[in-house]
Amino acid sequence: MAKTEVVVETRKLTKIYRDFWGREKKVALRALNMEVYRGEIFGLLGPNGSGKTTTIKLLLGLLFPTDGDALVFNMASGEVRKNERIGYLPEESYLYRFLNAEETLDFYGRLFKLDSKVRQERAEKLIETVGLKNDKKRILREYSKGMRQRIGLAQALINDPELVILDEPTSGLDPLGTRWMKDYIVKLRDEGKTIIMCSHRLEDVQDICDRVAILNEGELRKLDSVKNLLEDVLRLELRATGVQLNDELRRDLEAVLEKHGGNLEFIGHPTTTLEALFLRIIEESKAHPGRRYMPEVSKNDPQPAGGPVDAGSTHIKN
Amino acid sequence: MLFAKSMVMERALLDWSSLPNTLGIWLQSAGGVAAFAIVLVYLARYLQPDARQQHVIALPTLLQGVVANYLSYFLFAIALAYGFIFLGWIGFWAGIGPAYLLLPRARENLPFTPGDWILILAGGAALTVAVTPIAADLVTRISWGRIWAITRLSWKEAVRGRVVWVFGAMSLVILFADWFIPFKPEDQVRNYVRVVYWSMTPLFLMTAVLLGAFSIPNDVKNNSIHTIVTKPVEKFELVLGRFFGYAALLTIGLAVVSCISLVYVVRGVNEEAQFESFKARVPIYGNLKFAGTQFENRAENIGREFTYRSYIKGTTESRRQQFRQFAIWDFAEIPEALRERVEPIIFEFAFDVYRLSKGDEGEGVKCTFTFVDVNKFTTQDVHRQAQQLDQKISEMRQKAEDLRSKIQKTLAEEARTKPGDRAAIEERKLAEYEKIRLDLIEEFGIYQVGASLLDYHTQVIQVPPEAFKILSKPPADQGARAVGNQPALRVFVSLDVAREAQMLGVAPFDFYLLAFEKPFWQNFLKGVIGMWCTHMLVLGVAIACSTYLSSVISLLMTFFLFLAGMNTDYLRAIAHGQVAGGGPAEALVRLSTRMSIAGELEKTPTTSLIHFVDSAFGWWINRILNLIPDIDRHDLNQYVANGFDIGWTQILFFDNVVPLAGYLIPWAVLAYYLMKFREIANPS
Repeated sequence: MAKTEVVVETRKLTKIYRDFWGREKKVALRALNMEVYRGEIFGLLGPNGSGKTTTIKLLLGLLFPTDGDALVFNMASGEVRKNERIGYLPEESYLYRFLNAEETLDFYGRLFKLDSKVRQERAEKLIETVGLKNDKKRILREYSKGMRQRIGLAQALINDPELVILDEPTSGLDPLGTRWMKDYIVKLRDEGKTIIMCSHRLEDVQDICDRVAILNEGELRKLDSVKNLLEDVLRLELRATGVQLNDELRRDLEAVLEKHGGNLEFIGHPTTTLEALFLRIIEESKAHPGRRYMPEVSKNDPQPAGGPVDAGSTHIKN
Repeated sequence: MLFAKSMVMERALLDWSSLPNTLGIWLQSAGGVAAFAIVLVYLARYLQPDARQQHVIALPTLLQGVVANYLSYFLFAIALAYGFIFLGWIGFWAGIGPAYLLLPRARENLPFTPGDWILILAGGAALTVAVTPIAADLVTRISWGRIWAITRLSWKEAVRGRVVWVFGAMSLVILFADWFIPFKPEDQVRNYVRVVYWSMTPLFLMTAVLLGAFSIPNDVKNNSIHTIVTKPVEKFELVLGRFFGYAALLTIGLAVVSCISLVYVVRGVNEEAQFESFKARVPIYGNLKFAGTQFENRAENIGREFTYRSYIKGTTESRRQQFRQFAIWDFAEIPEALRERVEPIIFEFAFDVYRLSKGDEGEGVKCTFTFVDVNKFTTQDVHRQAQQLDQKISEMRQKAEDLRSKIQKTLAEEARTKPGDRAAIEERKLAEYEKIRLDLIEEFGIYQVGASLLDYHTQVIQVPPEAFKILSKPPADQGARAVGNQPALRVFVSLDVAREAQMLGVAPFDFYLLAFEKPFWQNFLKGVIGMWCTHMLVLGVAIACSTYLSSVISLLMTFFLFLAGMNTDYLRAIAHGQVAGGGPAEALVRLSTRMSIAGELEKTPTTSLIHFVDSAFGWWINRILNLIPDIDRHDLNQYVANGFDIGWTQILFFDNVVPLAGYLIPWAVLAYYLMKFREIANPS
């Protein structure tokens, strides 16, 4: 599906911080031109101080642009009405810690003037979705970082927004929480919402973003789809199943490649990512509770008192 | 300065009649601030280096089209008006005759000059420019539903932050204050009330200022505000929500603590003290003027620094021919219910006796209250009436004497003829005497009662209801003799002729007609409303400051304004030209020429210039004074402590709530723009 409807547009968007006397202190963003289309996950990438968060704050009207324009739903970023269609999750979940989850969502629902019944229904559904059903009466002060991030996401979605802006959504989350967050972001996109997220965790952006803008020192360095950005047309990747690596195979492949003018750089068995391995182990441990990992014990190692524990087992003990 | 069992009111209360004057002053001051702020906005716009930022702070473009055009015309009119005033000053300096018309009046009790009217119109226009965007927002954008949500949030924040525990500190006062409160009956209620009020005031004030000064800065510091202003929330809704939330908390806290304190006061005061002071008098005050003195609006100055009272002299037996001095109270209207009352009418007074000689030990100073119906005088002039008074009284006494002797003769004759009817005759004699008395009051319009004055104590005189009814007869009943613009009742107060001269200090509120009495508890709670006004004022100022300043600076700023508001007397004296030695220019001349402050400056053109500079300085000081909150106005404890009713309309509404609103509205306007123009996020 061609994504052509522009939801967010910046034209030469510039932000310069000045001191009391009006002297230039720092150029946080310089002449940023970009468009975000409906129904995509748009990533803002860059090191610290590159202008990602400044861009988001300018789009939300938290900062005034020094020059240029930021348009959201074709409205100026300072226009309050645009916020009716936006959900925003700040980098840290800056919620009121004396409220519990229900009260938090009720408060933000009121700011959107949602009907009390709608407010209640949405709050209940969101609390369940973000997995805080059993903790909804606890005040946020008692929540872990991950729980606060989840309720933060829930408050960003209380108005069923068309555009969701997420500032470092996986920051401070454990791998499980990160995976959940990423899956949920993709789910939101699949529901037709537009997502803008900024992160300095490259793997997150690579996993879920459709397009990415890379910023550095306040300037846009690259903007394209993830596929286009990552594809290396000078190299070829071959994957095969049903065959073991041996010298004969290696020689045959080298010969084929030589015939076509190429060189074999590497051949070997693929490895998984640490994240995938971690998630698989956690899934297995949930499926088989009580199964512990026992390291292989060398005969030369000192034995624990009472003799070896289940000696002779391999990596996993049932 | 308080006197035992009497109350000092150093300023007149606001009422309907003073409203136009007050409104004019308010428009000049608040409008002047608005005009100054508009100039600052345009200056900032001009100096702003970033083209995009100029658009953000362009005031009239906040509204579109026609309204913006109108506001531009207003801006032009404002500039023109202030230009006129400036030209007036220049013209006056240059000695151009009619230029003085463009100058504002020298004192606030004078009528408005054309210059004042220009300032009022300019102020009104400046306020219109400033308030129109807010009004438009209030109608089209501001949602009371969202304000209510933030109000609830503020309430929960304060309650869950255990702010209400602070109010519990009042229990310390309730537990231990008894140890220190004297048990003297005439002072007990006053002391209890003061202890309770003075304990509650700092407690709630500190809470109000801390809540107000830290709320929005904490939201900004914790970035909680990011989750609010990225919703469809106008920033001003946050300001209003915070104010209403904390105001509700303070109001309910104050109500609860006040009720507990009331029980404490009622329980703690002994029966004797209750009988003496557990009341709320509803007084009817008259206007005070003087006769036989150099000035009509004040009597003699005896050299006391506290000029609240001025003093009339009594004549001595050796100098009887000297013209007597009178303090005269005019009661413009007497309520019909009082005229129909069958019990004696009570007047109360608390004068200051200033003794010129030692007098007799234990003896008070004798004085006479002469109640008159002014329509029975041949002249409307109060001084001539005072001069005629002695003659009329002597005629009245003579006539009374004649009539009584006639009655006595007749009754003596009857007694001789009917010796058995002595009791009936005696009864008839008294009835005849009473009739003569009332007839003479009717004929001469005079009733006299004497009193022996004790220093600094509230004393009572009673007027028989029949006499009062005759004397206070409204003009309509008096047919052709009714005189327009004359008071319903006039009371001449003078010291009796004595062996040695004494003086009597009087002030407008020292003498009053006691209309009726109300329950003490009502008055106690009404006094708390005055305290509530102070809390709201402090809360509003603190929140308005915190929209731009950091929490600590907001706190200090509020404290500064509060303390300045409690100490404005000297500045007010300078503004009104009441400081001995004149204003700064005159003081400088006196210093440089080593002239005492009592000496008069020579009447030269230089002196005129000095007085002009001082009056201009005074005018500016007065404008600045109007920016400082009038804290004392809201301190109603002396009404409660001294047992005077706090009237709903005049004292609570006109003198407390209206000035509170008048003071807070400009701060709210300021808060609106400060929030609108500020960037919520910090650089990151």
